[in-house]
Amino acid sequence: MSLEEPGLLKVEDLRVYYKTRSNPVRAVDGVSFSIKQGEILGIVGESGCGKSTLANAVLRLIEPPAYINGGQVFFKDLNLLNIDEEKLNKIRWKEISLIPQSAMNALNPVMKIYHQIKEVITDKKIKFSDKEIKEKSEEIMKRLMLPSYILNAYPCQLSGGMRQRALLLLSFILNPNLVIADEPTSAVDVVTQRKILEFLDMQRKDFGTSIILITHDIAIVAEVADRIMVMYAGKTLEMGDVTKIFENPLHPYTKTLMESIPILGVKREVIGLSGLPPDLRNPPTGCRFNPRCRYSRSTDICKLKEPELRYVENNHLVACHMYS
Amino acid sequence: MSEILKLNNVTKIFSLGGLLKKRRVIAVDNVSFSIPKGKPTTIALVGESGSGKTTVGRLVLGFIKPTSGKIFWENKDIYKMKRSEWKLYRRNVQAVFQDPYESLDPRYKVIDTLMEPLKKFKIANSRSESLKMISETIEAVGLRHEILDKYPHQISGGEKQRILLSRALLINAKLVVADEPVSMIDASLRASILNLMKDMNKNFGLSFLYITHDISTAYILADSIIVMYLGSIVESGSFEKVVSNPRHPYVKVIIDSIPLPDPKRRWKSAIKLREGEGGLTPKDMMKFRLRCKFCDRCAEAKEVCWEKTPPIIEIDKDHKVSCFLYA
Repeated sequence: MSLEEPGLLKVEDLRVYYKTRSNPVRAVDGVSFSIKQGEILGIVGESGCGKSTLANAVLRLIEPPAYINGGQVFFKDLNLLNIDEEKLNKIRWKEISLIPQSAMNALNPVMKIYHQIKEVITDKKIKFSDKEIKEKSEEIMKRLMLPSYILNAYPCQLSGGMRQRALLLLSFILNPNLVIADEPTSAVDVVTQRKILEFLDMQRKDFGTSIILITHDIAIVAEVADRIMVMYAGKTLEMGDVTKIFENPLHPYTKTLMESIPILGVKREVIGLSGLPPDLRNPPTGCRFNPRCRYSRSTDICKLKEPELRYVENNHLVACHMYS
Repeated sequence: MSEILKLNNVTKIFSLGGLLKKRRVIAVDNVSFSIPKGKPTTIALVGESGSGKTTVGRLVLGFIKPTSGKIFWENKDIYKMKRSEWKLYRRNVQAVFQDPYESLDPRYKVIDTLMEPLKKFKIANSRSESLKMISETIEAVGLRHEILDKYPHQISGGEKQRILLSRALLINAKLVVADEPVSMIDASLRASILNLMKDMNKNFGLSFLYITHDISTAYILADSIIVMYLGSIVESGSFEKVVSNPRHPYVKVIIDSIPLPDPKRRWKSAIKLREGEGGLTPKDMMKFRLRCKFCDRCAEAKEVCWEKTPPIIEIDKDHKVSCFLYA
């Protein structure tokens, strides 16, 4: 499968495995997607589906025992998986920045926030005066609704929500083209969550920043994303326009995800999913979701052949035998 | 109406720091609420981190003692109970915590974990009777018998929470304090745990104190809701009433900020909430006590909000709010 549309970032058939004593864990197993300028792509999946591994692999930030077993990552004509480390370092933070998971602990505990910002800027060999750095920071802080005293605070003096937003400040300070946000709102209260999501939306609208929003919470994807990609066990199961997929989810897994979340003010039965995600050392044959799928029958094609991700209509891809 | 559990002006102040620089943190500030007797009820105790909701849970479980105020179980002060009454209280009030990986003894098989309380509280007369009770309960919570021979590391987080819930059923507890029981569980499994809790509430007569930061999960099972902010109750009452018509400015903002899984109903305007005065230093907390704790962030704050503690006002039957706007 290839996505024809031109994009800022294009990932093709990416495979990231983890070495074990037995078979490798196929955490990301042939994932392709692209993202346009100014677009927010939500990548959704439950724990262990490979979404964080995917985020790190795009910037080649994975460490052994993980390794890239194939695929390509194109960013503005450059293949990020082939270029040398020095070149890639120039792209990191300046053009693509990553907000890692457990961002609350990602700040340096013995440095004031201001010095952490300054470090990023000097590391990228950009000549900004102290005044310029302050001005730039304050502009973003206003958008993040952060009070100005945080620049002179150590991370431990800030609340969790503030730390999380301080990290967003760092990620956006050089105005990158693409920001990969890995669970940027986990472990914050709903008010801070909303501030963060509104900030991401604002940056995209005002500066055309593309954002990959990785989360387990499909409700926040519905709130800000343009497109959504649903991952399960290292594979993409469904991808498309957010309105289309929320209106008419096609893949049985996506359907279950939608049914399993309680919605305030809507009285309905919430239905869960039984069983466990597969062991990715020995993934099930055929469709990886088939052991938990309510439509899968014992002898049918679901157990024999892996479904291909294909278009069912414009901007809507599904990997399921029901639609082929 | 009588209550099984009643908290009367409970305050918990933690003292931190050394001899010279003693700091005090008011985790729970003058909190009162009750759970009615004879009518299994689920109360959702909601608030952001630091609001004191977990401390309330720990107080109810008897892990910590209140600084002032009293907690009654069936009209008896839990700190004036006789040994035997206290033992019964510990049996009646059970807990389920956030992290299922830490709540089960890793060296115990599931069967042993379930056997222990039966022995301790002398509920079953023989091993065969125990086994029968366990197998019935396991089925009731939707687990298979094979699980009894497994160790905690061999089972999933959702199954662990089910086991902890089944233990409460097994010893015939009356109240379960469930502190964020589903926040570490994947969305698709979450629903089944919430449904199980609802089922236990409706069919087995257990009451729940469901402590969470996530109001939408509470929607499935809660009859009433208590919203806390910096240790105080800001709004409480029937879940339906509070959620459909929130009155406190803080509660209005949080209800409005819950993301809906519907791209057609996105947030329309930017959030109307100022940043607090920055951090929660214990010094501030003592100061906050003399005024509305939310006034520095409130868009509708009046002068009086800075001067006095807001009164608790009954807006409607079964709907109370602590705010000067309604005084």
